[in-house]
Amino acid sequence: MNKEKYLHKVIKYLSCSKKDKKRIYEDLSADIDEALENGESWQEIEMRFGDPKDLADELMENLEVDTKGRHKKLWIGLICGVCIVVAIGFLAYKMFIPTTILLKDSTYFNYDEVHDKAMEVIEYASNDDYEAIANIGIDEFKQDSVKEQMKETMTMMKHGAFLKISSEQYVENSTLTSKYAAASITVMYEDNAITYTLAFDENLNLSAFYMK
Amino acid sequence: MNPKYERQLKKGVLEMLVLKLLSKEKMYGFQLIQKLQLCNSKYFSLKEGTLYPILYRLEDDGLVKSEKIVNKPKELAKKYYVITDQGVEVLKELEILWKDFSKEVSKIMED
Repeated sequence: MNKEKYLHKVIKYLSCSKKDKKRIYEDLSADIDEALENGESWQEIEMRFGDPKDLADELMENLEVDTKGRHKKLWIGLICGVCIVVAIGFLAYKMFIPTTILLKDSTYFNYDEVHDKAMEVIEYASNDDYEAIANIGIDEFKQDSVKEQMKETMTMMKHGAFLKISSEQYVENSTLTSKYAAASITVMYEDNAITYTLAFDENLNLSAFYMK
Repeated sequence: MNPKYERQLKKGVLEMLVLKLLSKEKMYGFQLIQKLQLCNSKYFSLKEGTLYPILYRLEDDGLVKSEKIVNKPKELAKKYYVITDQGVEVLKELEILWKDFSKEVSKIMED
């Protein structure tokens, strides 16, 4: 290790003010130069000065730098950092991962209103009335491409006459920024059974419509 | 001798010794270390890790100041430590205190 590398190591281990670091660097550098001029070799000087970390520790002890306090601050900083990361992760989770509750437990949506709306959609779907479905849907449903898709799907899924609703489940999904009511309704038709998955936004506009 | 207690005992007088040496002439750090060694004192073989924090404390308290001085032509300026007027006053007070203090300590230790 040469003089510069040695001094940089000492400074690296120091935990004190910039002012003290500057004057320590200047003074140690001057001492080393003086010792070299007096005929000492760098190896002798390095051995006399000792390990850079030990010298840094000795300097800090005599500068009365509160190393325990510094470690405490480091721990506090670390804990705060972890708390912030956890808080951000929690917020991101709340924002992007929806929480689900039964619709009957929702304090936002009225179960009967959602149920009635869902039945309206089922009636339209059972009559292959994709236009009526688009009318009660959000703006995207009114696009021609979406209506065309619905028409194709309904044409493919020939079901015959409506028989009964065999099962229905209603939930509320919510993130930090939005809520929606979702329904999964299985309808028995003459020719087959279709499960409809519907979602309604906070204004009870249809925001999702799936058939399988 | 327990080095920790030896260090504690010496700690209190080092500022006074440094002020005393600087009251005679301005010195740079390396000189101060050598001077104390030349005093043939086995108790005051100061290392850089001890001396410089003392000098910085004295400097921050206004008892000494540092000056870059060129001694010889074509030589790089060296950083000298010089005692200030305030440092001279404080040294006088410390010398009086030391006389009384060391007398009292000796009395108790001899009992």
